[in-house]
Amino acid sequence: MEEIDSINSTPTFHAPVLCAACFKNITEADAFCNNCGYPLNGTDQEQRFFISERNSKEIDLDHAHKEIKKAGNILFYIAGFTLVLGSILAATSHDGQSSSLFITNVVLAIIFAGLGFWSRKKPLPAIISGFALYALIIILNAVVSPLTILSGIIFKIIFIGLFIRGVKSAIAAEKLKKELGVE
Amino acid sequence: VLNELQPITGPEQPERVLTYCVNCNNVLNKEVRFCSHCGSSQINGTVEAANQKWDAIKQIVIFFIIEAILCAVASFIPFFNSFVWSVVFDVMLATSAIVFFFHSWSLNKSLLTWNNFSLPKLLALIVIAAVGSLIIGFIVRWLNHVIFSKQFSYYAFYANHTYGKLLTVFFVAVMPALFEELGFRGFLLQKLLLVVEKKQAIIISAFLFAIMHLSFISFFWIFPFGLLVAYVRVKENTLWYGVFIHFTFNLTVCLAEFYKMNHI
Repeated sequence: MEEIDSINSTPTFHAPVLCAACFKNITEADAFCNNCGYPLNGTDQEQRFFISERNSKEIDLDHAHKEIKKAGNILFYIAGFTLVLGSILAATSHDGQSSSLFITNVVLAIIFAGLGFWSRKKPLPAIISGFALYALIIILNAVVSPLTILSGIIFKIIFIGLFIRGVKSAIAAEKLKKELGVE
Repeated sequence: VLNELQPITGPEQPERVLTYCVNCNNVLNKEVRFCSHCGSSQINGTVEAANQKWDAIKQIVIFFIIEAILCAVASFIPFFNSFVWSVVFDVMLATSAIVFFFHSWSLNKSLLTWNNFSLPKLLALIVIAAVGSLIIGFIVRWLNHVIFSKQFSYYAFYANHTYGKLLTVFFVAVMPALFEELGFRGFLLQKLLLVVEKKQAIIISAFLFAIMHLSFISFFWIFPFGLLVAYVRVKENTLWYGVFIHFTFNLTVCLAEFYKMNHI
């Protein structure tokens, strides 16, 4: 309240000026926006060029966010697969290992789902961790019985591809956010 | 000019640091992204930073896959389940940690120094590690007995050897304390810090460290252990506290096993 009073009592005060591109505060002395580089005193053409460049970057950022979300969703799919396959394996195994096999798969599914939820808040670390766990499971199975690497190979390739794109998109999104001056 | 560059502090404004525009030498606030006079970008190296991050992630993945294959082969292929092969695999793991650590020597060298050495802190961490190890050892033995109905012993592996106890201490306590710290809290965590924030880097390094042990029950105590060691490493910027925590923790496991053996 005090701040508003003091602002109102200043005779030279004008309503806060906002940048036309990023809507952050600017002062009248600025020739360029401090936050996004918009040419405040530029020609019409310069300003339109800037806005179109900015729009294309915003589209890139939107695309990156979609890729990141896809990679996060993979973590949920893997959680589901692990749970279903684990249950089937446990139900059909006869060597007395079924309970520990089931517990193992349930714990794995919980970890993947947990990473999936974490990816909504912090995509990059969640995707890296999920990718590592997924790769480790593939390696373990391949070491114990090498032919397992071929089972569901198409899913494996798709999942790994989406993880890699998720990581790349997360890095690109960070760069674009910096350039656009958005949080 | 020098006066202008002093930070301006006042009641309304948080601390502000001034700098010059990279292009026109106009005086700017340090957080500013673009010069208000000439419009040139003050965000330097976003493209290089992105490339550096991608490189760091690639190196992390290569390190992780090498460690994973070595650990999986050593633990799950019966052929390699002998004393000689376990030594071979321990040496290979140690070598990979050394190679990766020294590959980024300029990034990692400060971790080998111990500038803010504090004896009380070190002793406190050693006590925490020893007590934690005893408590977890008790719970794990109980769980292994109840759920998986099997017993596990590190010593059993080296028991036939003349210097069995010494070898157990060397391969269970000394080697991991040195080379797992060098690999995971050294190389891996340092690379992760280039890619993500501190807190997230600590969590990922602990997670990768925990799953690398390839054991389910262990995950639930190695993960918090990894968090503690990684946190200390980031806070103190040295590997050595971690080496001592790790050594004490594993040594306590060995000693508890020797003690139990003598009293049965």
